[in-house]
Amino acid sequence: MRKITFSVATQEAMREEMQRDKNVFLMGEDIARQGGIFGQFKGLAEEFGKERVRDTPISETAIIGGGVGAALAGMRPVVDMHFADFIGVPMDEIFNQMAKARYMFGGQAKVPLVLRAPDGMTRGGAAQHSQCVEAWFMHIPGIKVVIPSNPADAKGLLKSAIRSDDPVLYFEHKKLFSVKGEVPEGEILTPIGKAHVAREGADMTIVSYSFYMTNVLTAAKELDKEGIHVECIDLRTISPLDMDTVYESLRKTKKLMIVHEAVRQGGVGAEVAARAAEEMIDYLDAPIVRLGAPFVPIPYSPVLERLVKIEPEDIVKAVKEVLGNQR
Amino acid sequence: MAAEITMPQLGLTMTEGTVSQWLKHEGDIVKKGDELVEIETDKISNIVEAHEDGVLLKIVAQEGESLPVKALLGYIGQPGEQIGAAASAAAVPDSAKSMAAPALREAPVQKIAAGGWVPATPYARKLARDGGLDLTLVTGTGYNGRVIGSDVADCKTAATVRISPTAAKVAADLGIDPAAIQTAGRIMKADVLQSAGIAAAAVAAVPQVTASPVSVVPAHGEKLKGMRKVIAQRLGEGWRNTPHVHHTVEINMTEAAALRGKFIAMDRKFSFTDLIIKAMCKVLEEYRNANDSLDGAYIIHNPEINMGVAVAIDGGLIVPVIKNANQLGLMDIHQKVGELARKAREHTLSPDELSGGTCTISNLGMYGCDHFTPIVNPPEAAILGVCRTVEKAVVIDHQIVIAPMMNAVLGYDHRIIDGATAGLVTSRLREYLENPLLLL
Repeated sequence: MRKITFSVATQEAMREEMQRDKNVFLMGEDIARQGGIFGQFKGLAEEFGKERVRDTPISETAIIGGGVGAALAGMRPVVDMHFADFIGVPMDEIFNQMAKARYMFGGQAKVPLVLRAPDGMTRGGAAQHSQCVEAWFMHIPGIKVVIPSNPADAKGLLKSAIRSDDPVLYFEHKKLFSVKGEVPEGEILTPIGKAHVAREGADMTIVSYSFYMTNVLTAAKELDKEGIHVECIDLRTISPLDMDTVYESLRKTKKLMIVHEAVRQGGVGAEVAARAAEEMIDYLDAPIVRLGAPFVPIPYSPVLERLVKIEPEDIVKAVKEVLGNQR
Repeated sequence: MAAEITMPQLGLTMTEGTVSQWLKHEGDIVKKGDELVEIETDKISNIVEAHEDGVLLKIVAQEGESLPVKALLGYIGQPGEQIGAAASAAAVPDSAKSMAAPALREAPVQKIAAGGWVPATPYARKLARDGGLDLTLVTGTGYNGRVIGSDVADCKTAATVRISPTAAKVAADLGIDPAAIQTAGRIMKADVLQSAGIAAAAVAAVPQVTASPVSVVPAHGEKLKGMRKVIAQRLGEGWRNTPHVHHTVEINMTEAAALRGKFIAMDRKFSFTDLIIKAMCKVLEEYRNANDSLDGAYIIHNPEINMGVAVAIDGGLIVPVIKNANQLGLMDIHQKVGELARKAREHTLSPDELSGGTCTISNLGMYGCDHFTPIVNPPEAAILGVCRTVEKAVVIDHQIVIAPMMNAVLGYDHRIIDGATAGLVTSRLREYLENPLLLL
């Protein structure tokens, strides 16, 4: 199968949807002139013109506010947040307008908007350009939150998000943009709200998403060599959360670990762990383990930055600790 | 439900601790906050307190046992409560029963048998529930002896053998297959012993002797314990293992006193100890070798300079550590020394504040001491003894003048610090203290 980068996969998704539906348009800082800071909008302005690929002023409030207005008026905007870290500026537009409009208008209005938000640590991005803030948004009813881990899902989830009649937050890890992966030719629509078992195993369930799926799968290969077979679940969507896939895995493995780049406190892992404890207590044969960043701002120093990252060796060690206590 | 008493983690670096002394007996009534058991690490001794009211149902970890952090030490519960797996009547030494104990003391001991609460994972409980299995019959192999799913599964496979946990342990110790033991009901410890041809009484007699608390206490004897025990061990170890050499230098403190006077005039106070810490750190920066430690076959080149400061407190001595002391200014050192000394007196130092030292300073000047030979604090390689400052007649530029003089003694581990290095260290220290502006 052909291999393309995550960045190109998202371009394809937008191109196909823009060809399919004239109401789809793109809006954000530097996306027409520059093609997006990660190249994820490259060539689209030339192809579709600057009416449908619009550069905006540097005002997150204006970008999202405009997007919500356009969506309410019947358009299907894809708006870009540049860095997820900037999402605090237009927060009212997101959680009071975008998320609430359909409910408050009794279903007479809908907000089919996709908000692309590049997140995560690269190297030396420091405290304001490295964050993973996805957990904030799983706390807001009225928004779907997707967070792909590979090029195929990037394309499939973005296409599904554009076709969704409800607003979708699309978190994409900055380190993934240049990652190549197999993407089938033609139309793919990855369902929103459905997790994916990325690797099967019987000894423990590891739930993750986004860039850290790479680390989890690397760790799983390492553990394989030592006869430990972990099942790896890629959540793909964190709101609505597909716990059924997690439960089904837990019935087999009886042990649960959640790994994410965001801080551990109050993270997606906390929600997954709590639901597993509520629904599956009788199937738990070991304490649930969450791996996430310590509760600190992301440091600029590469040495300190390493300390807040979860690398494959950290996952291997944590898995062995849980299993080791049982042998 | 009985609550577990576990090995506390006294600071980040502690991985295991030793049970030095139980301060309560099995069956004693305890109140929240009561001192239960004394724990020792190589750095510190500490008391584990009761977190709830109840009865000390069972002591699991015996005195002298070294156990990892969070390991099970014992159980606290309500009088008469059963804790199952960890305890059985058979495990209680006969001496405990024959003592004329109050009724309350005996009550839990008698009732602890089969059928109590067992630490188990939720999944293990479900398996046991579904299979109609008594969890007390299952030996836990999980975290802290927890029964996990596979234990229940194993137990079901060997379902014909019903055995008490104590009996299972004795059987394992004696190398007997429980399946070979013939008995009408559940296999108890006595059945195992009988099967092994050992009279139960003979075995029971052994712990009676070793566990007897009435051993010989010398006249006027006080048990070596707590801080004194740690001091005795560490200084004994330091003295026995380290070939010590001591260098003494006499230092003219005129300039140091003048500098201190200027600071005081500006309402900023520091002590001579603070200044000597500053000077010693500077010296160690220049002669890193004196900041090394010896660890078996390796010389550790400590990247940090962490200065221990000996503090006398009621009943002994304690050495809190100023981390990265060389990076601190004089006023920061003054503030830190004050803080650590206060915490030392209030017994609130954390183990982390007591560990990681790479060199130590001990000041006996306030006791009028003119010379002493301090013992290095292993694994450090050097210690600086500071004596009193006293006015003496000294010759300076062919003139006899009166000057405040102070002796400083460097004690060092001659295995890794050579005499020449130590000589450089002490002479540089003198240079700094006689010309404190060089410390800027």
